[in-house]
Amino acid sequence: MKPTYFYQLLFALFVSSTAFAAENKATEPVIISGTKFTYPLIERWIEEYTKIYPNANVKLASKAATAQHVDLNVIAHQPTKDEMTDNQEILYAGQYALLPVTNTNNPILPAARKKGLNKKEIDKLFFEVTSYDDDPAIKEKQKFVATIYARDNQACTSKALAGYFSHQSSEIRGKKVLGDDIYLLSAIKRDTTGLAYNSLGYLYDTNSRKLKDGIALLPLELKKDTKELLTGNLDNVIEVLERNRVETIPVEKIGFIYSQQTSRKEVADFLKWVLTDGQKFNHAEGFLHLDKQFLAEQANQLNGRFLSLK
Amino acid sequence: MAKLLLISGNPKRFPKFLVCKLGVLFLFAVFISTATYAQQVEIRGKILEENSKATVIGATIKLKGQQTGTVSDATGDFRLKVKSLPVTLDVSTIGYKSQEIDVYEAGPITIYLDENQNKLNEVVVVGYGTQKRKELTGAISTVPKSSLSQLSTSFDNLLGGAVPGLNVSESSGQPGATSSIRIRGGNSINAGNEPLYVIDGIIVYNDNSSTQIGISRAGGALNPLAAINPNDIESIEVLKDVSASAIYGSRGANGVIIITTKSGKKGKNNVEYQYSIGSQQVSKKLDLMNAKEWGQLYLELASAQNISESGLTASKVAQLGEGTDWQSAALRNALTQNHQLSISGGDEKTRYFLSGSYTNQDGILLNTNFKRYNGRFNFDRNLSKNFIVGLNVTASNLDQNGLSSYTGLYTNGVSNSLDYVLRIPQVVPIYNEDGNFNYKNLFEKGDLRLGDKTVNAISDLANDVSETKNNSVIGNFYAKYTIIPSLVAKISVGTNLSNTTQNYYAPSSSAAGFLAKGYGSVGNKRSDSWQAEYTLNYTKKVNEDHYFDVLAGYTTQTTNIEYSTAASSNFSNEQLTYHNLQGGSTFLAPTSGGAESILNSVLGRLNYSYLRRYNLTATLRADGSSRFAQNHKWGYFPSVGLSWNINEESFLKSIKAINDLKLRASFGTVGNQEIGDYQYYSAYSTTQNYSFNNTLVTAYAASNAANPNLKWEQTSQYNLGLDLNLFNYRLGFVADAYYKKTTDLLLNVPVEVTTGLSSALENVGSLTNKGLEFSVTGGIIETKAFSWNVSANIAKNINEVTSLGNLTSIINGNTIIEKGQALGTFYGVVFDGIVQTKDNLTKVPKPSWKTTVEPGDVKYVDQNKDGNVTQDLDRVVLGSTQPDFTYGFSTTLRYKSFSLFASLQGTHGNKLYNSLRQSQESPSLDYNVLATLVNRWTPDNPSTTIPKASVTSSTWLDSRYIEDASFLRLKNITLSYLLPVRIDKATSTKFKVFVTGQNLLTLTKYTGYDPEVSSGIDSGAYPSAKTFTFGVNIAY
Repeated sequence: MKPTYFYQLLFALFVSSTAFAAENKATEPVIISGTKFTYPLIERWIEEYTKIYPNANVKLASKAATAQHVDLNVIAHQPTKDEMTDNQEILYAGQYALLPVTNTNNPILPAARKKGLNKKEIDKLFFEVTSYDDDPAIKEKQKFVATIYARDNQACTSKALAGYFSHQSSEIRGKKVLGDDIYLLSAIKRDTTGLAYNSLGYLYDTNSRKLKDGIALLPLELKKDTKELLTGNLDNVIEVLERNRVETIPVEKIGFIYSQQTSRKEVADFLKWVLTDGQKFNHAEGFLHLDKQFLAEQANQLNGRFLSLK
Repeated sequence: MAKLLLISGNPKRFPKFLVCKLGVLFLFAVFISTATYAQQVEIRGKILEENSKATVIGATIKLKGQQTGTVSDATGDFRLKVKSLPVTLDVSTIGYKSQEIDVYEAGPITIYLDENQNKLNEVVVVGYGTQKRKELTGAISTVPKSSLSQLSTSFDNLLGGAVPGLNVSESSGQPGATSSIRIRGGNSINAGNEPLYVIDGIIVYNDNSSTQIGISRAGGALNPLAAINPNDIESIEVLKDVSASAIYGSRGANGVIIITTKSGKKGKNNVEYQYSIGSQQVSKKLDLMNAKEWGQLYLELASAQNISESGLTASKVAQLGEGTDWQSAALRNALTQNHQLSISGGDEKTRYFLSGSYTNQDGILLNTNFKRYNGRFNFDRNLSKNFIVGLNVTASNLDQNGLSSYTGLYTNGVSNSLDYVLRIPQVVPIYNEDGNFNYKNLFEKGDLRLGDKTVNAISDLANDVSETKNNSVIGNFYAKYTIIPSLVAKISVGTNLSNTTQNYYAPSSSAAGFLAKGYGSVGNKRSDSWQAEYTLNYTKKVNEDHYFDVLAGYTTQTTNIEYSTAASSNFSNEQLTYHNLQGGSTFLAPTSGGAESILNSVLGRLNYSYLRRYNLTATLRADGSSRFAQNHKWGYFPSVGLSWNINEESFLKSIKAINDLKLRASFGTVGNQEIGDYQYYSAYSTTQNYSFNNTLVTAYAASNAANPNLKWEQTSQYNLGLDLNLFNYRLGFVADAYYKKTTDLLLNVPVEVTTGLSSALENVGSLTNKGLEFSVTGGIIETKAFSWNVSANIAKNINEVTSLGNLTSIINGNTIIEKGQALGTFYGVVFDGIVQTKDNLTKVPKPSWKTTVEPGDVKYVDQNKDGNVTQDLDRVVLGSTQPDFTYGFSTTLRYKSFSLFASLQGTHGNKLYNSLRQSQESPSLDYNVLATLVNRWTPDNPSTTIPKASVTSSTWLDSRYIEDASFLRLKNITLSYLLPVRIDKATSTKFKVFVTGQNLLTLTKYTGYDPEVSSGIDSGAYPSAKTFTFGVNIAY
């Protein structure tokens, strides 16, 4: 690096860091971090919440600042005990659905459309059956030639997907995509044999409510009425998935992990709003509502936990 | 840097969050500073192990389809510059599942690698195939990889302490020496007790005598298993119970050890080189009398004539000091070094593994050495989608220089050249003033003197030639055809070719060539074994609930052995040693012989698993062996094993802490055919015991009685086991209990003298082994920077002879085989202290070798209270070589790039006959003794343990010399460091340096050199060494 550039960079770093320090003297923001595919919904909640409470200061965590304190961690799978410390609790605020998707030019689509894939076939396609793969005698023959794309094994959607099919995420076949679930769609668009599971919020254009270009839902073995609704717009899909359980479509909750020790009133206020007024934005961003009774339980849990807050 | 985001968020809403007035300034500055750089993106990331989140060092990160790449450093971090995003990365490293990863953001990203060894689907090598560990019904222990990766000349030395129920004892500390392995105790008295080895499918019965040709004075014992380079081994499975071993039928009774060597894997070429250099020193020296102490003892024993002849008067003794330390002169700091090179790789259709190694280990005794050249080639090729052919072959050249054995010579009871080193009094110098060996030992009065010339023990070590050389090829070719996806046919043809040469020469200055005026002999032995296996394997899954795996096969194995020896003595020219046997004036009778044995077998196995919960293994093998009489050629060996994965039941499934909870049970019968060839035939052998016209002539005499009923020794076995794994496999327990009963034991039963024979081999006896085994493994700490794993095991085996037919006991020298006792039981008189001056001498039992009893004599217990002590009436059982329990412990500690491994091995309660000590506590005018005799009984020093000095000592075995050989040994401690360097810009370099200490500490009460002597009798075994080694390992 030439000295000139180094001094430019040093200057910029100095200016920016002093400026951040100045801002930090204002109200401590509520920092939210977590699985990225939920960010559109979280951002929407923050945006709408800030409209009503202009003094509120809620932010998504800065990626650059890895050591940053986080008040709320968004999680989109059932956490194990190891993933939560003793004083942490989880509050659920919505659901999402994962649908199998492929490239519109995937050659298997015509055959698959005749009779959609059932759970067993999906299981076989997406997960390694045994570790005997090197032995042709035991290798299970695949119905279709496919390249499976999935997030890394630690990602929420990989854990949710694998858990739904009673597997470990390490048993998901194929290639891994890092960063964000949105890139699964990029991979599918580049590979005509690509298959992936992805969430509604990414699969559909949340403005036009239509499936995004270049991708097609993998035909599933479904009842006729369900099938029709699933091929409709985003609202139709949300409607059918909130009403029925479809065995080939995992539906999982999203929640906020918070710490009892470090919670503040600002955090509680935001969460209360999310569980009440904020719910009306779930559908808009491609997320499902929680069951009403379960939602009420969450609200009660929140009230109980934060009663002592001043 | 160009794509660095200030605030992470949904890409489509990115601008909304970018509206941060100060952040913009920062971003602007960064843009300016990088604008003039080439259009490159740097991906930054970290590689972690999926479960433990530990750092993965040295993982290769490459752009898919290109050579551009990097490796993760000591903290798991990597940086890789690419032209643009997205890119696809190939991430791989040994021991982990390779991953193809699409990267859309520069990062920092985290990549998690999954260990290849998926515990849930872990596959274990079993006889003629593989099986999921989860579905196993048998007791199979896998030797930990950490134990396998340690330095050793032979893999059998790595097994000690690594597997519960497997007891390894080395025959001596000589480089390349044999060892004795017992799995769950010995099952036989006259047949072999060593386990069966299956090396890449080739069945090898390791007969330690296979490298012994009959050159009786060559004292080396070359380990045939040293033909396998331990570094080539990928895995070792120990099949302990009948469910696992019954597929090997008549050869499964002593357990089976399955060795799988490394093979190439699809992907880039991997090159690994390792060099190690070490220094060995004797781990313990015997405390012998120095010159002055021995001189005083000599004066106590010597007559006036002795003193006048030797000139060792009291005044001279008073001036003596330490004298010449013969023991130290025979020992040395010895160098050991080893080179290993392996190259492996493969593509879609071909996998290969090539390796070569060179080992050169000097022994700690002069002129002893072990050298090995070894090469291996493993190759597999998919000829078509359904057809695979492959080859596994290893060739080796072993060369051992050992000690001279004095067996069969008149040497006053001195057993070998080491023993003689220890016996020469330290008043005798090794060298003359002119620097030549001193061949005039005034005190040698016995067989090792001719005229005024005697033997010099150091000269013996330096000049005797005692070589054992072995060339061997072990290999097999296989073809595997998948007829339909569930049915696979396999043909495998293998061979084990072994040629051993023994060369021996003892010059006329040496003990063995002394009287013979030079003695030379050579011998050759060829052993060819060929085997062919034809198997069909059918697997079927029905309704996801039922899984069948059926194996059927036919195998045949033929073994041919031929040997010959020649010897001559009385050489006028000794320059050419054994190369010039024709130069000797006396030709000794040559010997030659040969044998052939054939084993044809039909085998079958059914594995059935229901709901992955209930598992069954049923096997049956029929073996037809040429070693048994016509009506008993075929033996049938069935077994059944059951297991229940309890944790899969609904009542336990919800308990996430339990990963595995399995109950196992098995029962069945296996056999033992290792009785030697032609034992059921009536045989006549040549002898020279008959004289005609006052001349000894060669005659034929009956040597073996025909026994048309000679059949297999059979061992019925029962095993109950429990496997438990907890907390994501971080804590594991395995417990087993077993009972084995061997019937139809082959014993030499006395027969009528009118037959011309003293005994005949019959199936009459029985014995049992019962025991418990327990092992635990734990990942105590598993973090990114620090990990600590331990494993420990303990096993108890009770061995008992339950029947000897009509015989009450078999006494063989100082050992006895008797109903109710264990094999390896010592039989002798019990030491009862020392006769003291105040004792009533008429009441002290008189040993039959003494004419009168005097104060200072040894006292023995008079078992039958008849006032006399005799070998016939007063000997009792003094303990056995069988340990009460054996145990092992190993641990690996890793901190960042540092790793520390330690392993300990121990036995408790086993006895060893210290014959060397007995001879070295027998005072004489000729030989040195142990320093313990300084404290001998005298009227002024009334010792209760050491008798007075006397030239007449007992040769009886008494309880003093049956010593407790329990020990705890620090077998190995290795510290390694992975250097953060890259060689020649290679993308996947691993550069490791390590230091290893072997055999650094042994806690034992045993007074000899080493408590580990497999024969049970220590009559001067080669001492064990402690070794410090430094090494480097480079892989890329």
